[in-house]
Formats: sequence, structure tokens, C-alpha cells
Amino acid sequence: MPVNVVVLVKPVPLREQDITIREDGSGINLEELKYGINEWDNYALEEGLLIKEKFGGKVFAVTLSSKQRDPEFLLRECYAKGVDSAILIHCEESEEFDPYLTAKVIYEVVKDLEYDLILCGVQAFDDNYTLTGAFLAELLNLPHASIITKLELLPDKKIAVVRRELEAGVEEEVEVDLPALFTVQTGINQPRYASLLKLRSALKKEIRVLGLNDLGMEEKAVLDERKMVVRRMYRPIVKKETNFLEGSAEEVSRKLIEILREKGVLSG
Amino acid sequence: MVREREILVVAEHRGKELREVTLEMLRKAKQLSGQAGYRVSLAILGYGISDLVEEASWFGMDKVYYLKHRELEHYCLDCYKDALKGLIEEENPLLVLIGHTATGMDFAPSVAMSLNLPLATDCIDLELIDSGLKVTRQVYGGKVNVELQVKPHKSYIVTLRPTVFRPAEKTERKAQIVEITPRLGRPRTRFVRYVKPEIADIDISQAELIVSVGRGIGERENIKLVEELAEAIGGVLAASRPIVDSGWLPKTRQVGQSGKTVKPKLYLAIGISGSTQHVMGMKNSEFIVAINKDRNAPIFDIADVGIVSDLFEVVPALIELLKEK
Repeated sequence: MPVNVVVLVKPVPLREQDITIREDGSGINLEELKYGINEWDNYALEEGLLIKEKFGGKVFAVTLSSKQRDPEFLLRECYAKGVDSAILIHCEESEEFDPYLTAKVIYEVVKDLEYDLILCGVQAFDDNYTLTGAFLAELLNLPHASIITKLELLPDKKIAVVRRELEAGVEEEVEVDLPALFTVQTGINQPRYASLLKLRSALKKEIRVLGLNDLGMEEKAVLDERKMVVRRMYRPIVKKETNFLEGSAEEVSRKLIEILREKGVLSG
Repeated sequence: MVREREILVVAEHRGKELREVTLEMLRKAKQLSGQAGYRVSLAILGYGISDLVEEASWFGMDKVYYLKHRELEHYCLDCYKDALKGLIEEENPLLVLIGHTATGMDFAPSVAMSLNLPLATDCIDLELIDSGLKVTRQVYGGKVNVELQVKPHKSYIVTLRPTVFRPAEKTERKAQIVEITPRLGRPRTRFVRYVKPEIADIDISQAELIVSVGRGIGERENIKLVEELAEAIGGVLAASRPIVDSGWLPKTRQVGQSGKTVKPKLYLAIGISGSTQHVMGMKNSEFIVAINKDRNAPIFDIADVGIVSDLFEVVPALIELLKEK
């Protein structure tokens, strides 16, 4: 019995970059950053591809993004990994969206797709809301389970058995009626890489691009519907005084060992 | 008669025990009510937990709603949603506080969306202001704080990050307990069982010296290097989540919210950025040393000693010096 899966993928700033805040505190300097697939979504995507390999069916990748996050490249990568159809909801205002708007816009696209399952990451590295998946499930009137670390599908029974990660290593096994939405935790699988050869052939694949106008919404007016807006951004205030050691590798190592011996943490 | 507005805290409990985050939320709720005279109440959803409800009623709130139903014996998304929706519609609280935990994260969005109420998640602070609600959250893996303005609405829902606020203490005053039988629909998600963690070869939560390795190590084979340092120090090797996700070390070595909580004399973090989830598991270590090439890594915010440098230079130098002795 084939299973069709929709996977939500978001381009986010790659880790290990300097994240700088605009001088007026109104946001991040997004222009200077490099983007790639959100780590959690990458595991969701892999889970979708594994389901396709096991049960047959199609995988749709859906992205909502502004141009500067280079969503087309991300969707080409999805094609190269084995996705059947990629949809880009292109919206410059999405940088200013709150999670309600994000879910609502994605809902307008997903509701017309034929799916048995929707997967997305637990959270996005950049805004950390942990809301898009659960909000979308509610709008689609689907059950959901979040933070899943194991997914077993029983399509003929129309159920899935999933494990949800709780705290301190404890997990919870839950039975969920299908169709359903799951938010996927990192570590559930080992995501594949796209080969150069497949990336090259993915260049020929067509990405379906939609704008808010295609969904019956207005680019400018839509921001008025937000329930939350950013007041300011700033670096966390640090209360602890950190003793930063400087010098060559050997010098800092000597200093560190000395400190640890003085503290009595190391003997000798 | 105008009723005083209410701050409603949703209790979290497991195995007939109230979880700490519940008391943390109560403390914050009381602090907020003190300024404006709001009532504070606690909602407990469950079945067969009258002792827990009784115990909870001594923490200084005005009222405890015990939403009692057989279907609520274990956590269930649809049951929680139906029960809380009913209570919120009935009581019309100004603010609903929920823990930003695996459970809270699961049901809070469904309750908020189904009632069309604003929800701010994983907040580390909040303030009720004339123009609505102001909350503080952390983004970009803890590197940036953001202050959000929630627009004026009849009610707000906020999930609070655990371990940020001190827990409320027991008082001399017992709250009124109101037992309610909620009306529930047929649940589409059903609890099956808890799965306990595997037994570890070494219990890192008991270790006095921990050398912990993170994403900065780059490749599986480089872990040997950190293992060598752990041996030279006489400590135990642990890891942050990405190392375990990649299958490079077993889950039993993972430090953090979803892994182990540790309190060693020395926590040496190597190539660990210090995400919130990781920090929650090690911030109470007695002495924290961090080696990371990114000066803005949040791990330095809690480190006693910081070395901003390439771990592949510092770690071999440390090993050599320790062996010299």
C-alpha cells in the first residue's frame, strides 16, 4: 500500500557562522549569512524517503521562504535525494511572519495535496518556535505527535506507532490514527547526502513556485494578521565572569592545568 | 459583578509526582499576580491522583481544578486539548502557563490554535503590559535573545522554559479544590507504554571529572583524541547530542535535557557550542572549562575558564603536558 508523504523543509542560517544583530536591534543581519536545510527537517526528509523506499508512494517537499535563503538550491538538493515533487512558496514578507502566519500559508498549499503523512522537524534552528508542525496539524484537523525518535507505519490498519522523546532518556510509545503529522527529532535516522551527479540532474527538475497571490492572500496586508511581532533582539546578558586564557596551544594548556591543580580538581 | 482575571498554570506530572516545572510556573504566576491582583489557579489533568492534587493545593494558589477522567490517566493529545479548551472557555483566564517540556510542547499549540489564542513558546521571561504581553525568548541556539510583543488579546498562552525560575514553596494556606469531569471526544492518539533508557556501562551522572565532546570534533575517528584526554585526566568521556545522533557514542553518554544531568567537579567541554538542551544537563557542574573556536558560542556564557582556539591544537598539547608529569 503506497504512502504519500509531505515533508516541510526550511532553509536556515548554517551553524558555525557569526550571527550579528542589526544596530537598531530590529533583527539579524540575514543578508550576510549562508543557508542550508534546517537540521531537524533533514531528518524528517530522510524519514520520508525511507518510507517511500519501503512502501512506495510519493514524497513532496514544501518550503516557505524569501529569496535570500536560496530555497531553490535546497529544493534541488531534495530532488537529488529522491523527492518526487518540490513546491516553493515564495514570499519576501515571510521573514517577518509569526508562527500563525507561517502555518496558515503552508496550510493553503498542503490542504490540496494528496498525503497520508506529513513530516517536519521538531524546531527550526533560527527561530526555535516548535510550532509550525502542530499548528498545521490543527488547521488540517489531523492528529500529531511531536519529538518522534521512531516511526513504524501500519498503513493497512491506518495507524502509526511512534516513540516520543521525553526527558532523561525516557520515551513514550504512542499509537496515532493516520493521516497524521509528526515532528521529527534528530538522530531518528542517518540522513543521506546528495551525490554531485544527482545534484546535476536535479537542475532539470521543475520546482512549482507559488506566491501569496496564488493562495488568495495579499503580500502586504497579510502581516496585519500577526499575533506577535519582534520588539528587539540583543545578545544574552552574561552574569558569569569567564577567565579567557590566551596564548599558544601549549601556553593555554599549561595555564589550564595550573588552574585545575590550584582548584584541587587535578592532583599533582 | 466583575470577576478578577486569573492566571492558570497547567500542572505537569508523571508517575504520580508533580514535576518541578509546575512549581517554577507557580512562582512566576504569583510574581505576576502580585503586581496586579490576579488570582492564580492550577489545572491538574489526570485520574486516580487525589493525593497529588491534595499535595499540590498547598503551594499558594487560590484554586486547583482537578480535571478527572479515565482517559487522562496517561498523557493524550486530544484529551488534553478537549479538557483544557473546555476549562479555558469556561474560566476565561488572562494568561495560561504551560511548561515547555516534551508534553507541554505537544498540546500547547493545539489548544492555542483551536481557541485562536496567541501562544509564545520556550519563554525565559514574560511581563503583562498595557499593550498586551511582552515575552523574552532565545533564538539561534541561544546566541541571541528576542523580545516579542504579543498583541492585545482576551487570553494569552505561554510555555515557560524549565529551570529558569526558582520553584514555589509550600505555604500554610490550602487552595480550594474543584473537581471537574471534562467532556472528551474520541482520542486519535493513544498512549501505549513508557520506554526506559538502556543500562549504561558507566553512569556519567556519578562521575567527578567529565570530558565531553561535541560537534566541533568533526569526524568519528577524532573522538579517540578526546578519549585520550579523558584518560590522561582520569575522567569519563561524555558527549553532546549531535555525537550521539551520529551514532559515534552511545545514548548513555549524552549530557543534556534528553540525556543525563551531571554535576561533576570538572566539566571540560570540547567543541561543544552549548545549546539550551545541553546546558540544562550540565550547568550545575562545579567548574566548567570550554574549548571552542567560536567566541560567541553560548557555552562560554557559563564557563569558568574559556579557551577560544582550535581544539585540534589545544587537546594534543594538554595530553602531552598531562603525560609529562
